[in-house]
Amino acid sequence: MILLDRSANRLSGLACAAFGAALLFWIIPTATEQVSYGWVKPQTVPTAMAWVILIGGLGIALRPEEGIAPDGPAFVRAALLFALVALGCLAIDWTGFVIVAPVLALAVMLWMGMRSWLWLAVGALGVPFVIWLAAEVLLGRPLP
Amino acid sequence: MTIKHLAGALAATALLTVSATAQDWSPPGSIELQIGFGAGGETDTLGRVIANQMEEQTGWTVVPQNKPGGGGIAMFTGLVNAPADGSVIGLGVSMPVLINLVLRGDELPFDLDSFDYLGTVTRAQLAIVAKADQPFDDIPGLVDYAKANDGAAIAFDAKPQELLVLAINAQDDAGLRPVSTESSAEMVQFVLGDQVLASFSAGAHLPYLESGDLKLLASANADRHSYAPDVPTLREQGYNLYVDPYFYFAAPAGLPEDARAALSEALANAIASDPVREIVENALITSVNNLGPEGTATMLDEGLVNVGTLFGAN
Amino acid sequence: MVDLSVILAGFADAFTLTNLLFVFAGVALGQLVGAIPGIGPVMAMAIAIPFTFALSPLAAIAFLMGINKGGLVGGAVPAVLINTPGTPDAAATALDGHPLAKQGKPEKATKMALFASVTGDTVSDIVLITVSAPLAVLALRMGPVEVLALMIFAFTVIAGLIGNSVTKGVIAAALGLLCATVGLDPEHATPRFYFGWFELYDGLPLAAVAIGMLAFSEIIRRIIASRGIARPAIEIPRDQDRADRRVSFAEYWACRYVMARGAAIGTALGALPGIGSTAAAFMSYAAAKRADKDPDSFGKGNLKGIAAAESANSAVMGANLIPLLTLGIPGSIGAALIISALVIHGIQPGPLLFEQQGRLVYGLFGAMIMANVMNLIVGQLGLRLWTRVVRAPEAVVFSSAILLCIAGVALSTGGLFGVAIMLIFAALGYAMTSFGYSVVIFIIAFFLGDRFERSLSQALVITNGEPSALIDHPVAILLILVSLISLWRFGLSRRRAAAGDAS
Repeated sequence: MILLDRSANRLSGLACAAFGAALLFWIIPTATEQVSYGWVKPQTVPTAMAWVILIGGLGIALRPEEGIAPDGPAFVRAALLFALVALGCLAIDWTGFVIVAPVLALAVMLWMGMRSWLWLAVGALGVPFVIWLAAEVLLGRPLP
Repeated sequence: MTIKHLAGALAATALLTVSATAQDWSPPGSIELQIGFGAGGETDTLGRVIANQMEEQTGWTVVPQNKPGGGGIAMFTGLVNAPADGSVIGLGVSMPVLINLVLRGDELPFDLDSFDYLGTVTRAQLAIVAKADQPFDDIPGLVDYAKANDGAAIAFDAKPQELLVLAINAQDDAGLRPVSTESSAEMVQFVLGDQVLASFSAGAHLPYLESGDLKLLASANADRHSYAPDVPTLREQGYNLYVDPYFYFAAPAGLPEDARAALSEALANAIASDPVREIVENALITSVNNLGPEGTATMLDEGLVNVGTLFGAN
Repeated sequence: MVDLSVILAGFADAFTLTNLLFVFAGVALGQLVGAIPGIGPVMAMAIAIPFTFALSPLAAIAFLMGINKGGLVGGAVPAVLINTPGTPDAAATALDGHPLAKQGKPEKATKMALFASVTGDTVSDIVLITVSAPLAVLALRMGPVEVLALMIFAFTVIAGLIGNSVTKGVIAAALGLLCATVGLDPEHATPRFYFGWFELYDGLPLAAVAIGMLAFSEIIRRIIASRGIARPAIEIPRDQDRADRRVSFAEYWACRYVMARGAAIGTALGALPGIGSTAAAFMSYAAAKRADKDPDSFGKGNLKGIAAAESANSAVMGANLIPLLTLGIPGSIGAALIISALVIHGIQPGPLLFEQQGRLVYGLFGAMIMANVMNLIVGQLGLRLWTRVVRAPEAVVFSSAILLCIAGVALSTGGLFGVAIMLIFAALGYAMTSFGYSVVIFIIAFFLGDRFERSLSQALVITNGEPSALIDHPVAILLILVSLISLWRFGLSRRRAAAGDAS
């Protein structure tokens, strides 16, 4: 089992190293501008950090110091939840917070196994109303 | 250019004739006043108080919103795609916009013609200051002192100021080293703490002029400052350089004529109100200066030429 | 020096019923918005400023001060109760506050946070009121070279929180610094890493990154972990001992050194513009952990951990006023807003303020003392309410927290763009925590990164890159020496820990 744990750790190191290399050879050259004078160039600090990430990542890939046990199914559930919230945000962009918020709250509560009608009403209607009250009435800011 | 000026003149006459109908126009809902800077600065304060005054005077709902990013670039990028019906207007500062148009205009989704201009609030007064006990009183003196001492560090907080320093170097080989800072307050801190020899300042220096800790070396604007009419400008001291940052209002181009007239009139009234005048006097130590819709467009056109020269100087 | 009569007149101006009401309203509003992720006291102050125009200068500043100080307490509440800090500087409070709340003692944890916050705040206020002028002169001498050295020192102290793997901690810090470089670069103002999004010109929005990494990723984790069981977010035993609901004087007194150190760190970092309360809180926490006889008890609900973090982050605010009032230099966005409010009323902070407006300044000090007392009173009542709120079922608490994060970040960053950034960093935070990379180290590096790069540039230009110029900066040399010692001791303690594990 330890072997498996370490391999997950090695994988995280390789991901870091790949990101560091991508920074050095692709992202930094394309996303920064050249200047001809001065001490701290736009590339100076990002390049230094990219090297740290690259070398550190290789270090972990070669010598994983600890065993970690990432929970695969939890990752899938987290990804689904992130997707749900992101979808909610897109829907807010199309319609508005006031319309989407009760639906999103309801979805999250049902996901978590909440079945009590009273609490579902509090979470899906009461809370969005209080947020609307606080933002639009108390602070005078429009919600998206 | 001539066509644009003609259009401007036409618009000006149109303004005179529609001002009666301007009172009939009212915004489709609430007006969003986008401020191109974050919370807690001069622009933010100005925008919020003007919004407040507009609400009081017109009865419209005016909601100030901070849209920070690149000295207003992020805000104008969003504004160019906003509906041109008077529901969204923006408050920005001329210098950062003009510089970005000169330096990387092809990357920006807008140019000066992408907006209808509604007026200006005022012009910031940019000073060059040093500690009162320094052995020089003007820019040539500063340059001589720097030459005798292996160069000197000069604090700035915006690109055009850095360009001024580099242009002085190019002209006199002064060996000035521009130090990048975040605000007038930080620059004045560096001067007082002897970290730099001199700095620019857009207001933070004033209490120190009064207390006698700092002295004014030059005005970096096109003309002298209201509080120090005896101190000559950089141009008068032999350097053909200046910057004139204006706070101005704009809306997406294609605003209906009545909306444009009503908005610029409402803004003009708000800018002329006592609270706004007081804040401009207190915060920027200058008086309100509304160039009006056409004046604003002309100021920006001329500013673009001037900034081009500034960059050409290096 | 200001006359005693002016001082007394100033205090007399402050202690009126009207001002008391404004301070009360400010503190209550501040505690409320501080507890809501994303909104926070800074935004509440920015919105309130135009409305204070109609008030007298003292009432206006008293109200804003109340919001700011209330926010210091409010931010700790969700950090302790559901491990999602309302303001970034409360993240350090969560390290020990949340474990204690999970043990069923949320009231004890939040009360300790409240008492430590008010203590740290009061200490820094006393420093401000008594010795602000000489301290301001000292602060002036601290130029970019010294600030750079101080940041290096702060990093070496905070290294104590790096976790199991040093390499992963270093990578997390590098990622944080890298993310801080998004936007215009400090020396040349050229745009970096903006990929066509002009919103990124001023960098990644701090609130969105902090809320995403610290709060939102934790909310997701909690939702994932709790499938199908409807239980409250915090379980409190029914027959709980009274001692577990309050902080006894003995417990408070046991933290006196920790709080004194926290207040000192907070005051020192607050008097120097630009480093900020988040770094102060973590520095104090790391120092307390290192100095303690039983460092392993930290992170498991140790009251000293809460006291260290809260005393330090609250002390920053009072000390921020030292450069603000004496030099007109704001040390934080909150302080910049106070300057705007002063300027709106025609008061120019700076060298002549005490001379020209002495009475107002002492009135302000009086209002600050009132705000501290109010914080205690409103806090005691508010905490009871909040601990009741989190006894609602988990599903309701966390679904509401998601809505609050979205609304709060959208409001404070001006739209859904900030919310998208929040989601991206929440996902990154989730992945980093799962693979053992410290999110806390990332956030500290991210918060200090911008200032670090700017100070590095300033220091190099000012010294013209010559190491020999360091002779003019003895304070910087001293700080770097202390940093080296701190690093050496850190290495020593790790080796000892490793040897202990092996045996």
